[in-house]
Amino acid sequence: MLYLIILMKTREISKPMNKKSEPIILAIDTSCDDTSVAVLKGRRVLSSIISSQIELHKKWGGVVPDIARRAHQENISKVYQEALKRAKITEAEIEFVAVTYGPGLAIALEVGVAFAKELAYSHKKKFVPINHMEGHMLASFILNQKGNGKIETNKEKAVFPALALLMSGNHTEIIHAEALNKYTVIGETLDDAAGEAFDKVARMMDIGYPGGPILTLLAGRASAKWSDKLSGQKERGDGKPLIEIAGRFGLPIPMIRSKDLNFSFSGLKTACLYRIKDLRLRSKKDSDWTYDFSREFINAVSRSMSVKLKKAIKLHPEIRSVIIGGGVSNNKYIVRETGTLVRKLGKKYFIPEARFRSDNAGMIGIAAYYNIISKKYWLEGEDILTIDRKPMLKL
Amino acid sequence: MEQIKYTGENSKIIIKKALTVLKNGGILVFPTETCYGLGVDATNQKAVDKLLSYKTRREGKPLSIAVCDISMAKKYVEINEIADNLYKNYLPGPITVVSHGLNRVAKGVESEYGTLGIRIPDYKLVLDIISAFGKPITATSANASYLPKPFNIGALLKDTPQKSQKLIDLIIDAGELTHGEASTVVDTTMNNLNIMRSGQINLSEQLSGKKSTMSAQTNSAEQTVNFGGMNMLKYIDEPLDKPLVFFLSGELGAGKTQFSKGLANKLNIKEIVKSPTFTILNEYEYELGKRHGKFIHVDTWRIDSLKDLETIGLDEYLVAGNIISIEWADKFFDDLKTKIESAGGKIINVIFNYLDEDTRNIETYE
Repeated sequence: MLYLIILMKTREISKPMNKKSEPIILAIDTSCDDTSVAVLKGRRVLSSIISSQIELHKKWGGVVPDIARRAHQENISKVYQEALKRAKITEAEIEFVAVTYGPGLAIALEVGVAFAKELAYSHKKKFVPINHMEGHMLASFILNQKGNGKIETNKEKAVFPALALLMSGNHTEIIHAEALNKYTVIGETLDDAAGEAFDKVARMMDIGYPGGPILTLLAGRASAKWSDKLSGQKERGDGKPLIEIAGRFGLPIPMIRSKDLNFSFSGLKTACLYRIKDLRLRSKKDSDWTYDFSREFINAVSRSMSVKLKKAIKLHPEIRSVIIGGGVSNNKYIVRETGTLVRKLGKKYFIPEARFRSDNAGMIGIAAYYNIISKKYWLEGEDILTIDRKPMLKL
Repeated sequence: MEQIKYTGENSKIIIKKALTVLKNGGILVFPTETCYGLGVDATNQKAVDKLLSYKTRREGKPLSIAVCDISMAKKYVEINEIADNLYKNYLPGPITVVSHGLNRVAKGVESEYGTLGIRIPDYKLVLDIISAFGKPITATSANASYLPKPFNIGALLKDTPQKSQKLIDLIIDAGELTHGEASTVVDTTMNNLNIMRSGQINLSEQLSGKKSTMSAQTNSAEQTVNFGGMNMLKYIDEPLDKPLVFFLSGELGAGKTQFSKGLANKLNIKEIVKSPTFTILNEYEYELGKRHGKFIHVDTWRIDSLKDLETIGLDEYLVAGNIISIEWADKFFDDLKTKIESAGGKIINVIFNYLDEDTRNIETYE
């Protein structure tokens, strides 16, 4: 009996994926500050809605983590309705329901998981639980509504083996992806994520939240006095080892001497705190130093990323490409540095379209798509009810 | 609809015409350092409604307003330290500063959270118009939703349906603009210093006159981790009938996460304990001989209200056997203390102070 079911599933899926038979996937992500829902037909994202985009939830750039509101069930059903409406898809047409079940904040994940389970179980849809990080990893594989994207259909396999550099408010990881659905985390942050370091340094500089865009804006006004050439080594006295610095303020490039592929941003954070206190004592106004300082801070983060990425590529010379993902990949300096490095080493470089870099449900949908077609992975019936949120889920 | 070319010398005439339009609740297309914007009197409900009907299917952001200086801004929003710093150092410029609004603009301008985004465009003609008008104007980009941002009037008119064009009263045509990037939005309402300060006062009252039970000067992250471990060893033999909660208080980068790593090490947790700033609450299982339970690592840094603190689900973890470490506990000191004590929990206060960049003084109080 079981064999028969598997056989039936296999037959259903192994049909050539012409447009008619492409699976219609509803994807949900509530792991972060926003509730997002997307509808996909195959690899094409027909709609991707984030709660702050709909009239009722208009707010400033999704920047306030209003947990109480996001935990509200009403929120998700409105975003869901809007996503269906924009995709011109009815509830009956949905074949698969995909949802992030980790990692993230338990009470936030719960909302999405409960909603998805209920929808799949009571309407007899197939259910695909997805790891949020797999979503970030595969965001580059998304096609837009017209079917255009960064990676052509049937060329997906040629991307692998690959390395993925995922950087967000919550994560900084390097992943070795032997093939689709075959991942190993080979490097990760030991303390703060890169996005978090941006936010905290911006807080020290009193320039608001989120830190990434404003620090990037200020860095764009760096003077000719600031130059990457001033980076180098700095003595610290007392027989302490030399440290690598990112420019004239002496901000350290984190973890540059560590032999592994891990990241750490807490030391850089402390160095920033001290430099800022000192600069404020010595300057008339903040804007005398903040432009150059922002540029140097980004340089320190970016160098740390590229040094580790280079190390990872040296360790895995067989890889064909490097995939980028996560909200921090909106930073043009980091993209420029890592992109140049990857291309120089003769590898392909893939970065998602801007709207799929930060947390979104489109990426959960694309991850579900590959789980469905390449691993034939989904749950049905009572099995759906066994899935629970996993706040500390690993890839 | 009237269209007038800005030559750089006819600003007097333009300002006069613009004022007439604004006073009559009309819509103005004006140049900025980013792209062409749509301006109406932000305090006139009819004018704002007309603008909203122009921008059908608006996505994401609420409207922002343009003012001519910080003193005008102060009439419409609360300016805190962060906002003050932004106005003084970086404006005029392509930055939208979000603050708590004072509800003095038309409905639909502030966000549903009561916040309001303010711009001071780096474009003298516009600042002169606002200054002469004496009130803020809306500063949304002049494109209908989904269409590219307009950098010249020809492109704007080509993309705007006739029906919408009829709503425009005056276009100030300053030619091709410099294609500046869209303004960067920063929220200054996070990390409310008042919450933080009152919490810190409560904490220091609590500790005054008390002697620390453990203390250390640490010279590196490793030493801070080790001190965390020593703390765990000291309290690990506490009776199993109540939760044990570490309240960690100290500046950014003072070592709170490192200390928590030390607690986790001694609980034999093999996973990497990372900063919980983004997820707010991280959960680990521990097993230590006969003892087992959960190690809960919390960070209140991104939490700005008691209401949100209530929703993170801390209560369900306040059970015997669990060990909890809360970063930035001082922020909500009284409320957390009440909550934990009413659940029968034992609180250990750990205070982190910087001595210099590499050295911390850490004190533990029961």
